[in-house]
Amino acid sequence: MFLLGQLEIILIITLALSACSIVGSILIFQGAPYSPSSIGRISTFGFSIGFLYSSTLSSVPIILFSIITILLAQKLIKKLCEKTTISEGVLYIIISTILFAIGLVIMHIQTVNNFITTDKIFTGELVYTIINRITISGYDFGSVSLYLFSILLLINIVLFVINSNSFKIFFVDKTYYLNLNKNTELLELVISVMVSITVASTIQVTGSFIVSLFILGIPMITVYFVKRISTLVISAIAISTSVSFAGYSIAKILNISIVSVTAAIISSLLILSAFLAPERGAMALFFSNRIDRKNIMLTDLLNYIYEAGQISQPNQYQAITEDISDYMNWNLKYTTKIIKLASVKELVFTDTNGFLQLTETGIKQVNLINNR
Amino acid sequence: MINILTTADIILIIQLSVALGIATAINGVIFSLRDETRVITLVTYSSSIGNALALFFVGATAFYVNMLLAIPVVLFILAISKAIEYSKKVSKSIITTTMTTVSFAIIIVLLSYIDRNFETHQINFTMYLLGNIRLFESKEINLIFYISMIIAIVSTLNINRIKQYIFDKHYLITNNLKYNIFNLLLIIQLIITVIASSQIVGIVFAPGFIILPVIIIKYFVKSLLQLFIFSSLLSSVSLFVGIYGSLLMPLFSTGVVIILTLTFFVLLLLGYKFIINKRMIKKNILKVM
Repeated sequence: MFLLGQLEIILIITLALSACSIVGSILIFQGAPYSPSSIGRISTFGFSIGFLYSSTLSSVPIILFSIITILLAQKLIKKLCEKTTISEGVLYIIISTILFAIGLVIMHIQTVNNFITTDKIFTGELVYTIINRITISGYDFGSVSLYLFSILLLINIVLFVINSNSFKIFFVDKTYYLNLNKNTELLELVISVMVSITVASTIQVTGSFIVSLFILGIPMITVYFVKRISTLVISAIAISTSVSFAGYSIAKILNISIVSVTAAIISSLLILSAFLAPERGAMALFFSNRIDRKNIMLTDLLNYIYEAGQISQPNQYQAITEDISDYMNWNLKYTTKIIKLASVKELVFTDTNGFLQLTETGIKQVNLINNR
Repeated sequence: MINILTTADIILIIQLSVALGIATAINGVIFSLRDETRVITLVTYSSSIGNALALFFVGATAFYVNMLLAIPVVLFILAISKAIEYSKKVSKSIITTTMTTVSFAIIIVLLSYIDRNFETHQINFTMYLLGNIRLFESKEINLIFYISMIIAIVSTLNINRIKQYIFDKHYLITNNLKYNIFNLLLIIQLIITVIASSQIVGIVFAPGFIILPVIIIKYFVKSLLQLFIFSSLLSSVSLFVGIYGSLLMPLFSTGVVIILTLTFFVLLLLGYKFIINKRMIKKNILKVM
């Protein structure tokens, strides 16, 4: 054996996930006009044609036919989008559903003749059952899938490195990219080719539906922590490696499919980072927005006391809580809270008559804001 | 289980097709015109988690159990999507796509766990994903029929509010209707419709089945009422032919036959539109000459 069977599987998942992460990072920055899950369903049509031709569920013709189908379908959708008023997203759902149905009919007929279940096409893990191995003069050099995913990763890396500068400009400012006399169609074609070869190959590991999570999941996690596209790609590849190792180990312990555990880990990490990521997570943003709102209200309060004081009795700066609540249209409870905060920060104080007055620091702060 | 088709069976299929056709078309019109087709996909996949959970906990996939489990699950997934949207780091379409696949991953995890660890449950992925009418009891079909009818009646009674919801949400708010509550009610209605239709059409085909008739009929009609009526008609006919066809051809799952029937009708309609347009162009040219 070239590699131990178990290690081979982990390596295949790692390579597939890494290749997917590169494409996913690009799609996230591009805003993904199409969903990889629709592409996955479209590729099932090519998959079935390839299956009709080769009669095995995992082979090179299947991948080739899938790639051709995806590229042709994308072209058709683009044409339909130009000629009709239907949006691209809706067209992807419709075309993918129709092609998927036709693909399944072909597949049903073929699987009945070959006594193969179609479940594997939906749930993946075809690569582990692959019989094709590279054997030269009796020596086993490993499974074809291992080399297939290595080549896929290599192609994605090369295409990304060659076009990385163009991607950066194109995603930030499309008009500027056009002004540089660069061909947008060519760049879109590159992305399209990357997506199609990745989806067509990865379906053999993930099945037609989870492929979308493999592509978008890890870059979505990473986007909460990094800003640059190149850093995003590198971090995504690093996370992919750890996720595939963890996925394989847990799947073996729980006796569940490796792909589904890997997908579950990606999902959990995504939800966790979306909520808990520092600075960009929902929780962090929620609390920072609350703090911002409090600060704005505090500034408004200081300004009001300053102006009210100047209007009624110069140099005395006073105002009453109820007045503030009425004038600002704030809840009385919230007004008291903000006043309390201002007192804690020593910006205001209550005099013996129960009037609010600005402290020296408070006056300084108001002047500072007004001078700005 | 329907094996031999009697007159009663055919009446049952007609009832089911009409009621479900109307319910799916109503939801299709509402969400397609609001440009929220991705919500339909997300709701379909996340509601199927209810299906898998029902099998996991109860060991059965009865319609009402699915519904009870699916509603909180879908609302939870929608809440997570909203929370991710809050950070505004990635586009809405990416979030919906990812959450859709997250839901699908959960389904696969649950089903594969049941498949490998519970000997009593026989899991057939194809059945879950592509739908199969042969697995339904008559009383369950009746239940789906009644629920679909309720949806159809409630929507017809609220047609004006639905119009406002689709075209002008501000008008809805000025009419003292709480927009968020109305939105939630419509999403719950969508969940129920999706659960009903996904059991027959299949999880995979349900979004396409809900959207496709509306998108095509939109090109032939001029009013919202016409859109409701004709898309319901197209859905119902496709459902009837699909269900009947799949019973006659047991090799193919119900969802596949329904979608292929729908595609056939769509191609027919598009062909008709193409011929009419060509004739119109010819007439106009002759007029000019």
